[in-house]
Amino acid sequence: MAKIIVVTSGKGGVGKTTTSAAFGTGLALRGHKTVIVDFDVGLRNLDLIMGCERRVVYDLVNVVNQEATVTQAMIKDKRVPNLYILPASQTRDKDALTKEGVERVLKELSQQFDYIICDSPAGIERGAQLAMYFADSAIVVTNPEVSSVRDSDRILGILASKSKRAEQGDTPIEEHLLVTRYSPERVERGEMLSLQDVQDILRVKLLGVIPESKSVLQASNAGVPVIMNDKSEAGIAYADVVARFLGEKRPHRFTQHKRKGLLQRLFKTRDEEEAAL
Amino acid sequence: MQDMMEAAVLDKKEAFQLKGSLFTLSVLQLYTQDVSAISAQIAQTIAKSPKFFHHAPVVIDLAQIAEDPVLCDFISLASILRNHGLIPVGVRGGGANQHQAAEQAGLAVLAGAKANAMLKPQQKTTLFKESEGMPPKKTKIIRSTIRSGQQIIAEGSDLIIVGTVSNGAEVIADGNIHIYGILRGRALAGTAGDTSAIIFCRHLQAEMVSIAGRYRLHEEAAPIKSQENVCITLADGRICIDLC
Ligand SMILES: Nc1ncnc2c1ncn2[C@@H]1O[C@H](COP(=O)(O)OP(=O)(O)O)[C@@H](O)[C@H]1O
Ligand SMILES: [Mg+2]
Repeated sequence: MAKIIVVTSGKGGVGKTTTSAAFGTGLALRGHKTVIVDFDVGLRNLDLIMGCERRVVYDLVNVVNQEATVTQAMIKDKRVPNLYILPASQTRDKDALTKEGVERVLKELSQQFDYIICDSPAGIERGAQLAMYFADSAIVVTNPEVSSVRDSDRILGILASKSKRAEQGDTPIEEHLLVTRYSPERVERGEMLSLQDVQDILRVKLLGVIPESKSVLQASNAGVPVIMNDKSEAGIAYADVVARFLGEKRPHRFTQHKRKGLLQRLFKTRDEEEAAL
Repeated sequence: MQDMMEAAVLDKKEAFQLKGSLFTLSVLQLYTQDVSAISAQIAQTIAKSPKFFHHAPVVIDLAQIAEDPVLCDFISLASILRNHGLIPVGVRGGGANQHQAAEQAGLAVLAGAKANAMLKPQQKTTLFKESEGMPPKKTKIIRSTIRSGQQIIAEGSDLIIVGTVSNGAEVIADGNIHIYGILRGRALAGTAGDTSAIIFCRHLQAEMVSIAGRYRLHEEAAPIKSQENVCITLADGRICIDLC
């Protein structure tokens, strides 16, 4: 039986799809058979970030409507063994999904996979609720700013009351906080909430902190999940996140603003060079 | 009761969904039916705090004029309120004739024993009238963070929250409320009309606090804020926040 993990946030544009791609790839790189399911019907972009948009034939809506089988719709990643993508439909709207249909698809995937990653659409409506309804575990993606934190709080409330586990009185969904696009420098300047502020408000176990990094955009333009770039701070941070999720202890990195020594001032880090371009 | 405000939206294809919800409204308790006297006093009140009343929905309370033999002119009353920028939504209390007249003026008749309990503060309002001699209902205890969008309601009892109440969350009790975390959202105690209800709080940063229908909103000029233990009470119809 697979573990179902929803990547959710409430607010849009905070890094859910980036995280789904990196996290799913990371699990597969460690040998776990993983499928990433794009629930963002109508706005699919997981396939772009995964670099397989040209290989999409059938999608989640087709499978839910039994117009195609799971096997026909899934795309096997060409770089990483054990990794599959189930894309969303670009042409349908999000009401095309039904609870029963999603349940049937997830059940079928559960028999073949170790992990099912559900990339949630933004919002708290039907689409987002369907993506989280059957989850065992949730990664709540939050940017260090008030509106994003507020929306994450809302999502945590829905996870705790409107999921299948909540409705059936099962053990609650395991909650993990992932703070993304974190810039210690901007925190120091008072332009962003600090990690401490975010944790104070949300009170959820911190799974990791992903720094703001140019390499994320480059990775998605190239169609390569950023976790595959071991020179990128964001990629390294995502690898830490996967390790922590699997139970390893790793200290949080990239959370402090580095004061630069002379050498560092002379030799810029790769990320900064990219940023300067 | 948790999350009454947003019942499941899954698998619904209707155009809308009717939901029950609680709101805090200002109540205009009338002592007279003299429309011009009412108008004059509203003008004075609004002059003092114009922002507060702007587009504020109000309920007209008829309890004190229920016995009045002359029927109130609800149509002019409603238009005067609107002219002052208030939005009259309905009436409460009063007799059958008054209700009929109010309905003809397009006002809702708000029902409820709860409302009546608040009407006559001179009568001692006890929460557990029907069950005199019986032990009061057990305190409702919630051991978790109350998140934005969630609502916790303790009907006929006290409420204890062992956790933080987030911005956008609401905790409501007919009795007292104790919060052993940070109150960032809203807390409404004594909602059945108990003016002696108290909100106890260890760290206050609230959006709104209310006791027996009286409320206070957080405002820049008068913030609802304290890092220390406070108790929030109603004294002479005003919300008081004191260290305790
Ligand atoms: N750690 C990061 N550093 C810099 N940019 C990021 C980071 N994470 C995400 N982004 C950028 O933010 C935008 C939104 O990311 P995306 O994953 O599509 O968000 P969502 O799926 O939540 O809408 C993209 O342009 C992406 O490149
Ligand atoms: Mg997305």
